[in-house]
Amino acid sequence: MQIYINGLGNVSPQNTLDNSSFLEEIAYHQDYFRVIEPNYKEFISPAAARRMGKVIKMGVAAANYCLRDAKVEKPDAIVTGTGMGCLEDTENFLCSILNNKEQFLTPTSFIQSTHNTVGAQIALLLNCNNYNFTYVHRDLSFESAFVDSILLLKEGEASNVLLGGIDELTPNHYAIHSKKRLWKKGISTSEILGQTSDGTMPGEGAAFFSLSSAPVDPYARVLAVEVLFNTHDQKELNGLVNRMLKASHLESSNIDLVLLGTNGDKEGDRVYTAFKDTFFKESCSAPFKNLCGEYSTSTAFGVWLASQLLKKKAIPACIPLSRKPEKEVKTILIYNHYYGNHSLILLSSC
Amino acid sequence: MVITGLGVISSIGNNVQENFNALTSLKPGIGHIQNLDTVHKNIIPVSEVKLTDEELVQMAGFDKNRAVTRTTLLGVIAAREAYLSAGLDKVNKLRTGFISATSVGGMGKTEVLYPRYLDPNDTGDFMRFLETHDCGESTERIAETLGIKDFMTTISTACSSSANSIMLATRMIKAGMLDRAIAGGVDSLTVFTINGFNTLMILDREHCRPFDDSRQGLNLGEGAGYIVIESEEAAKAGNRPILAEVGGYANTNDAYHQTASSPDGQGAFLAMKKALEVAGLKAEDIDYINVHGTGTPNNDLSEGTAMTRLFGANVPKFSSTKAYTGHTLGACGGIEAVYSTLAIMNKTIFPNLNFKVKMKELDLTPETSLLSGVDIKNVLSNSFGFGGNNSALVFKKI
Repeated sequence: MQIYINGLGNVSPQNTLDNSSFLEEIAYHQDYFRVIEPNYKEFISPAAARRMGKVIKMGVAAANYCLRDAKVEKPDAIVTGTGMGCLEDTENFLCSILNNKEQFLTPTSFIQSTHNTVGAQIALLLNCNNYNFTYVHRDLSFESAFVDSILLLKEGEASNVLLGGIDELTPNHYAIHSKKRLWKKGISTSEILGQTSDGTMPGEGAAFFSLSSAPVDPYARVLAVEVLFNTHDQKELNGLVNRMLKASHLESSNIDLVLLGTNGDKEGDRVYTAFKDTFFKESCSAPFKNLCGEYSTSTAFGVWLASQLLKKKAIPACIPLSRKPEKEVKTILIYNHYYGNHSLILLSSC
Repeated sequence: MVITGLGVISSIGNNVQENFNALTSLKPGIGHIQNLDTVHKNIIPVSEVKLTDEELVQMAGFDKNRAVTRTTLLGVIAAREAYLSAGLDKVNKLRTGFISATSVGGMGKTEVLYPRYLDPNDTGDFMRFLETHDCGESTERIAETLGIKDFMTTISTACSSSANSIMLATRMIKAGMLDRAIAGGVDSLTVFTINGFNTLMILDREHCRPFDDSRQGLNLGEGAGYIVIESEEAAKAGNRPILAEVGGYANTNDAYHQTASSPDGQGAFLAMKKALEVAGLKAEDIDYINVHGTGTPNNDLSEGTAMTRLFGANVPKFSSTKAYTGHTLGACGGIEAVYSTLAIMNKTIFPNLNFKVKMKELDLTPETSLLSGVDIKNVLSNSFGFGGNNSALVFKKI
């Protein structure tokens, strides 16, 4: 069975929701990447929108755009991944508990703090009774959702799946993690990859995909989604890469472009360099987090970027390619890692 | 896909045997809050695991200086029991997955440390706990303890979370992606959840009374429950007993309200109906339903309505075990999968404690006394959560 990406919806720190342009102008931000929020009125009533946390609105908007793009009214399944869930609502409820000594609390932020709120709100707005799962496994949350989505299609349980990766950044999250010196501070996001030093710049986003076993004006074909846990051993990574290539009947030289999760952090970036140099020496490569920042489900942005590149058959100037590709880019591998967890997502043009 | 191991820790016992003993001697675990600092201490009853964090560290065999959450400790204890009871340590390593679930992960530690996290000048050893907050943390620590690396993930769909991890594990084995998996979930009680449910006004000040007309709400609980699921081929290795089979599963969405269940129980109805279809069973084949039965007016009416729609006048014997364990949120599907398997193995139906009068709206009476010697061939286990997330599992006798 072949699996196609038939629709996209992406609320991100770039102007990515409108499909008519493709990263023609780049938005820069100070210190961290913030999503460019669309006009939510189109999808959510103003009264409902006032109550919703940012991540829910982002997710609902991206999901709506995606379904419209794929011409799907009601998906057979909704599968989302989120590393941190509804942070803003969680923090709001936690702070009210602490500040008011557990008195005078209202339920709204608690209700919306549940990790499956985005998937649930999409189902509610679509009146969709179908399968609805949310994965919350750190930097492999989106990949977990992706693996499940492929399984649903292969089982014949769904003919199309709405897959999404969603995470929001909040001021508290930023400030708390600053204490761990995780961030490069006092610079523009344009400089995220400019200096090799400790730390990165955080981001956020909501990217949705309509997957199907039948191509409908598709962006890309999904060849593989592979994950590897808790290892720094190159041999294990090598085994994974070989398995993926073999299963896809490809050689490493067939990979035209490798999108790397390079994020400016000195130590983490070494792993990307080693990955590229060891396994895909001949392929072109480029980072993607210079556009979206580092967050748990940033690979969803990577998949959006790869899908657009494969369909539009053009590479925008903002993609810092290692070198100019000699031929048309037909196969793209996305590689990401975080604290010993690794993921590979392989897409091809249709 | 067969079940070869069980593991559980809850307010009524620290392992499977203790849980079974409490279930059959009708001893609930509900009482006053002991392990949390909250203004609700002597007002809101809960169903705590009767061990302090220090005692859990010791039981889990962790270094006491390690940054570890109660959630991880509960999970390690139950998942390890499941792993060892299936004899997985004695057979060749096949492709093994660990699929876990939790609703609030490491919130129990975060809510205590949050003011210190927010203070820019307060840095110190406590900052190690920052990385233990998210839902994936307990999964990774448990998998690491059991030496599982082939696959792991974490599901969070509120109160149906661990039913869904069992569903995913079964599907992955069926599809040949794994040979076996440990699946279930864990949640520890937190001030965050107690206050959350309290604002929704669905916490009973007395022991909860599922399906009773006088029910006022649920009691929150904590714990962990895991089962070992294997392909039949994998389970044959090493002469190990097969306890039951995961026969069916389904997940649907009620699509009615973020927290409330629909009056017609549509999501619950569809989940039960589909789980039966997957199991290849007719409604009359079900001998016992371990209902979600939280004790909230809304859940029990909606679930009861869905049961009546599906089974008509012949609703099978049913009970909620939440009057024993409280509602363990992300863990309840796992814990109740263990109880459902125990029901099949021991030909026993655990009673629905605290039930006196059936609700006015429906002609439904749960089992109120312990039933032994019942030949239970098929059990339906329901788990419903916020966000309209509804799941049903079918366990079959081998």
